[in-house]
Amino acid sequence: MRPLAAVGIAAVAAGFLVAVDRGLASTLDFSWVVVTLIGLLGVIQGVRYASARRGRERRSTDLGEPERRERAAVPGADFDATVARAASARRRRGRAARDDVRSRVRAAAVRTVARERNCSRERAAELVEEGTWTDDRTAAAFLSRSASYPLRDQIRGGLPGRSTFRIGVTAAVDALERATTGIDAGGQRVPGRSETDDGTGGSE
Amino acid sequence: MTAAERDRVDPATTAASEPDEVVGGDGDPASTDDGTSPAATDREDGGDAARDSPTERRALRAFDTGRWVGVTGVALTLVGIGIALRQPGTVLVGAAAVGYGLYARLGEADEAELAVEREVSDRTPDPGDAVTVTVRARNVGDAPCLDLRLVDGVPPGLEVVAGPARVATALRSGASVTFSYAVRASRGDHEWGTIRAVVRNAAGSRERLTELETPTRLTCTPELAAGGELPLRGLTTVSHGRVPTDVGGSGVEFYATREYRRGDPLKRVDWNRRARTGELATLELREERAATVVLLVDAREPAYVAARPDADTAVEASVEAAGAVFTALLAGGDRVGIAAMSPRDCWLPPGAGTDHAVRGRETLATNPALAPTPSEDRFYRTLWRRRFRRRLPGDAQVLFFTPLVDDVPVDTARRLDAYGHLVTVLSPDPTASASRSTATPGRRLAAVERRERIRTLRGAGIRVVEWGDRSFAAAVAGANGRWSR
Amino acid sequence: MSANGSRGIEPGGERGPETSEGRGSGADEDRERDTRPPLLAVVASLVAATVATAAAVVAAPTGGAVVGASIVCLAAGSLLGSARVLSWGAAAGIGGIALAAEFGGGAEPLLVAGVALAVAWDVADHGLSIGRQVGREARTRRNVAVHAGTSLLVGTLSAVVVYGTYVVAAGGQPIAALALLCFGGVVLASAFR
Repeated sequence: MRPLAAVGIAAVAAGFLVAVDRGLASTLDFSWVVVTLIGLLGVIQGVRYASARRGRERRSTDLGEPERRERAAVPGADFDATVARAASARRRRGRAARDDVRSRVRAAAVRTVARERNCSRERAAELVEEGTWTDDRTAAAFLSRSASYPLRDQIRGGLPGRSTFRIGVTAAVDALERATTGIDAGGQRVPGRSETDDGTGGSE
Repeated sequence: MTAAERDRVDPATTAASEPDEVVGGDGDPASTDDGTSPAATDREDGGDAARDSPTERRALRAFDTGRWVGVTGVALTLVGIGIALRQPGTVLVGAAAVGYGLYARLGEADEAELAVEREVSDRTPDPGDAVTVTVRARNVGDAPCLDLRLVDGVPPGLEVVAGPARVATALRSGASVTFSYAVRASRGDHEWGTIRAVVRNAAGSRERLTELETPTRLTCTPELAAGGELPLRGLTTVSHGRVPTDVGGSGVEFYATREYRRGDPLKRVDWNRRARTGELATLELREERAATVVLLVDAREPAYVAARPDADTAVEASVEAAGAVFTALLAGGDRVGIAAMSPRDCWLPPGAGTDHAVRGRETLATNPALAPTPSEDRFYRTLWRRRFRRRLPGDAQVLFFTPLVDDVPVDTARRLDAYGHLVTVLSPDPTASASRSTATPGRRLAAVERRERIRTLRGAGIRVVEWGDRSFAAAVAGANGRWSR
Repeated sequence: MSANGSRGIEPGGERGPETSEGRGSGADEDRERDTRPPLLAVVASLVAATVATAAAVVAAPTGGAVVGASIVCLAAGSLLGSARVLSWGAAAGIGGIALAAEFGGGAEPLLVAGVALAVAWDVADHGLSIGRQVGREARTRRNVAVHAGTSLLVGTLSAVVVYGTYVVAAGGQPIAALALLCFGGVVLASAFR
């Protein structure tokens, strides 16, 4: 680099000298071709130089938002994130996420069923596996390894932007909600269930 | 933060030479004045050490920002085109552009040598008060800071309500800049973190971050709610049987009336009935033994949840409710203690009296275990349980404040119950949402799981009071109505 | 909950009766920092771009029109917060200047246009960075002014040196000198890559 820089500086210095001193200029007679070539050399080198460095990204310190109070976690947000991961990834890659989601919903279902039907955990797990714990076939299919989704859900799930997994999760959670509160997603009381537990009373 | 590695400069300490003046709230958001006092670069000035607030700083590595990239290339291209096409104008412009190319290479982003002071208008505000914070930074280096941006390290538990806590300026040696902003005070002991100073060279092609420390603390201790209206009888009653006595005041409760028998004290006669119907009847009162109660607040990291990201967390709700209960129980003559289920230790042994009330108030406000934001330490459940059990008096009842977002509190409550302590769980509901149909599956599942936990506890014979939309007092009153004696 | 204002677990979105105490929680908490570039930076860059356009129009109207496009790009870039759009504005300006030179524009107005364009881009880009790191609501006037000033100073200095050399060299064989300078510049640029 040293010699190159020296040559460059010498050339620039000579250029200034020639510019100022007419006498020197007349002795140096650059032909038209040479001059044009040098010009083109400049263009080529310049363009190369500019485009080679164009890929460089801007960097700057990210200062964050200290003015805001630390945000609280929302219950269920991690579950939703896992569902989103599971629903968007196809087949193999989303499997771990899907298993995660399913096992969590299954655990909640087993617990609910065991309490509702007053049976043991093992029996409840069997019921969940069979799919007889709820009337909703989609929910039953979601948690059961053997049952499959009804046709309507498979069609809806196949549409672009939809996923059977998400339909299944929503249905299963809906069914669980109905089972525990007796109120369904639309706010209507589910017939046949006892009055809702509004949570302020003790059961003793 | 960028990928710049930490480059520990010798921790430089810059003593601020001016005495600590009280800067009254400037209406002016910022002003830049020239420091007329001698730019004292005295370090570790022993004599004035008490008044000086040394500013420690730590500079990271400088990096290229990527501005002015390609300017030289453009310049060369223009010159070349000008020569090739014999256009002097283009050549001139290209040559002038080379000047900018050189400019971009010149200069380096130096470390920000600043002395920083921070003033808080009220160090012990009440919750909800707006507190003005004023920061003054002075360039104590020899070189000017041509492009300086400052961001104050507002504590994570506080929210800024007026103005960003930032300023951008250019300071020559000895000059200073002042900026101020307002925060809304909330419960807790808040400490300001590092001020970050970003410095760039003149052309903006190099950048460096410097972190400066000026410790400042703000403590907000809420008044505990009067608690008088909190109907807590049902929570801590330990029946002693019917004892007709003439002990009056708190701790004694009406139980029934019976026919007057000769010898009953006149103080205990039901004079209202006598006035109405002419009959004599005796009031029977039940004396209640003062209870020993420990308020246990679940302050582990999972408990810092809320219905919305910007709402107060369940820990805040628990602490507030615990405060009301604390006051009410103390007023009722019980001995009350405070504990926290948290990586940090918190234990106030049960006691009574005004001193104890003050200690309790301070514990609930400022104990690090109950801080407004979760700590990053790990929670060792078994260790905590053992220690808590050791400390808990044998006859103590436990009022356990927890949002029940996971199974650990359920397990803890059942264990405490098994050890023979009367446990009542008071649970703020973080899963409520505006309308059921728009709630996400995650939130609804969390609500379902929480309800199951409540049912499990109730099934195990542990009383649970939950509140969410309704006020805590109303929930307790409702619960009282249902519990039998 | 206690009477202390509306803290507590509230149903999301709905405000219970306790919130009437003017806490205004939603409005304050959702306050986002304004990350747009400071007004002074935007205005300064647009003014400089206008000067560049005017100078280019003086040199040659067609070129001037292209340089005028840079005003739009710079304004859009500042509005959108995109450094890339700003670069397009700079490119448009350079193209316009080259075009104006092609159509026989004089050297002096082109120089003025070039320097003004560089200042315009520099201040706009600086404004973006200030907006992102500090924001529009904070005090930034001095910073932007100093930056614009140094940029202008550098440009003016370069222009003076270059123009001075040009004037001194005019009438002779400037091409040889220029060729040498160009060659030297290329070599230097390669050396310092």
